[in-house]
Parts: sequence; structure tokens; C-alpha cells
Amino acid sequence: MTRTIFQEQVLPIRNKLYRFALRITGSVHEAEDVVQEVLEKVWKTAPEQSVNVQNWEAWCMTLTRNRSLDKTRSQSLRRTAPLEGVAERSAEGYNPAQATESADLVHKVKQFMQNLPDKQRMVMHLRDIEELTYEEIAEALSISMEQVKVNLHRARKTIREQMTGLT
Amino acid sequence: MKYEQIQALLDRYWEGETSLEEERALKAYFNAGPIDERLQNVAPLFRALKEEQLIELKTRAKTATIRPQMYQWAAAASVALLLAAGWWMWPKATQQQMDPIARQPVAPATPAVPVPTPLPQESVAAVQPQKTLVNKKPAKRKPQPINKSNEQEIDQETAMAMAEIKAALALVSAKLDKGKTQAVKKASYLEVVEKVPKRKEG
Repeated sequence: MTRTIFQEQVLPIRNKLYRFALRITGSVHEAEDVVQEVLEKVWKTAPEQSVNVQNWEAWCMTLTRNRSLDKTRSQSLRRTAPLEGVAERSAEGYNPAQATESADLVHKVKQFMQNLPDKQRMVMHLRDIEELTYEEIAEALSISMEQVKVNLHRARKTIREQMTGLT
Repeated sequence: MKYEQIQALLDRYWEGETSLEEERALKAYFNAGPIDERLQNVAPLFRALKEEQLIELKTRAKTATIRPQMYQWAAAASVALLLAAGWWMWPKATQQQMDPIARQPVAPATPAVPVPTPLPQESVAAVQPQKTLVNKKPAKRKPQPINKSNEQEIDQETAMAMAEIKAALALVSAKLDKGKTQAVKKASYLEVVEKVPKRKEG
């Protein structure tokens, strides 16, 4: 690992890694630990090994997924709570009752996403939040492109059905 | 963008057929200006996606979690000091209460109190076993005749108490140092993001 690669390709994606870890573990504390461990591991990558890495982002995502799943399994964390960390958006143009209702619906959708099965949740996160291509998602999760598409379709379908139940 | 265009994009989105660019357009629409009434029910999804895109790693918040560890050691240090001080004061207070005669200056002996032959220091130590760290409570004292051995014992107790306080302070100091070292270590570990490139420069 050279300093240039680390600074230009790894450091800028640390928030992506954090969000992905947060998506899997559901815990701010665990997600922070995962990112630290992944960054350390990447920094310590031997030069001969780093030559083989084509896509640092996909590789970091894979490391993040593996580490997060390890933590989740070892601590049997539940991921029922929606992700924390973002202040409520101001809803201009709405009256307070509408704004509260709107924030409540957004909160519920986050919960629906968090309650998806592991693979669907990870695929939907990488696509709809991190905006990765299907190829990048397949590489990060070590699954086929077909699997990516199937899981994304199922995830969106589930969310849509659950949202229909809200209104 | 018109309702029909958005609805068409949405249909393709649910089927997983939209490109990244089209998905960005949907997020932009639902997070910007007025939304068509007929599309209001889908808006929460794209708002949720946008909100989650804004979540960031807060490295500053993590270093604050180290502080409670220092407070733990500080609390432990306070308790240790209180215990040591209490142990040091208590025998004196008890002695004053129970043995007022012993606190009086060595004066011409009262006729009522017999003056025994002063014993050499070694034999005093043998007769009155020294206190150990295990046996902290002073043995109940009987009124004793005024003599030099009594004063020697008080001096001895004071010296031992001081030694014990010093030992306790040394322990607390060592623990604090250890805690501080660990805190510093963890802080630098946590801020690997900033520190790693600098280390390479150095």
C-alpha cells in the first residue's frame, strides 16, 4: 500500500465503508470499529499483494462486509432499529403536522430497509445509497450479476409492498 | 419533470431496470421542489435514501469516549486516598478517646500510676505485635502506663501509615499512567485516518 493510493482511493470512501458497516451491524459503535480495522488492514497490505487489487473500493467494501458480518454473528446484534446519525430535515412548505407525518414515514421506510434479509439489504444499500454499478456490487459481495439483480428487485418489491400498506 | 416522466421512471425502478443516472434523477425530484400529489406516497423512500447518503463517520465523537475511562481511574484514586486517610486518622482518634492519659506529656509520674522499667525497643516490638496490612483495625487498647515505648509505638504506627499511603498513591499513580498510556494509544489508533499518511511522511 502506497501513501498515494491510500489517500486518493481509500480515505475518500471511508464514509461509504462506515455507512455499509452501519447497515450491516446496525450499531454506530460497531461500524466505527469496523472502519478502523478495515483501514488499518488496507494500510498494512503488503506491496506484492496490493499490486493484485484492481478496484480498491470494491475490495474495501468486501473487507467491510466480512468484518461487519463477523461482528454481527459474534454478538448476535439485532438490526431492527433504523440507522442513526442524520438530523431531521427541515420540511419547508409544509405545516408542522404534515412535516411530522412526513418524517415519520421516512423513518418507517428506513426500518423496512433495515429489516430486509441480509443479501437484499446489502445489495439495495450499495445500489440506492452508495450508487455502485451492478458489476461493483457483484465484486464487493462476491456474488454473480444475476444475483445482484434478483436481490435488488426483491428488495425494492418488498419495500414497495410495505409502503403501500402505510397509506 | 412531468408526472408521466417520473411515473415511467418509477415503474422501471421497481423492476430494477433504471440506470444509476435515472435513479439519481428520481432522488433529485423527490428531494427538491414540489412533488405531484399522485406521487406523494413514494416520496418517503427517496427521502430516506437521500438522508442515509448524508451519514458520515464522526471521528471526533469517538475520542470523547476515552474520557470516562480516565474518570474511572480518578474515582478509584479518590476512593483509595480517602481509605488511606481514614485508616491513618482512625487509630489516633480512637486512642485519644480511649486513652487520654497517653496523650499527656511525659511528666513527673503520678503516684497512682506505677512506672515500669523501660524496655529496650526490641522487646517492645516483640510484646506488641506490629500491625500488618491485613490486620488494619488496631487492637483494642487498655489504658497503658506512660512510657517511652508508647510514644515509640505511635511513631511506628504513623510511619507505617505513611508507608501505606505512599504505596497506595504509587499504585494509583501507576494505574493512572497506565490508563493515560492506553488512552493515548487508543486515540492515535482511532485517528488512523489522519495519522497514517503523516507517519509515512515522517
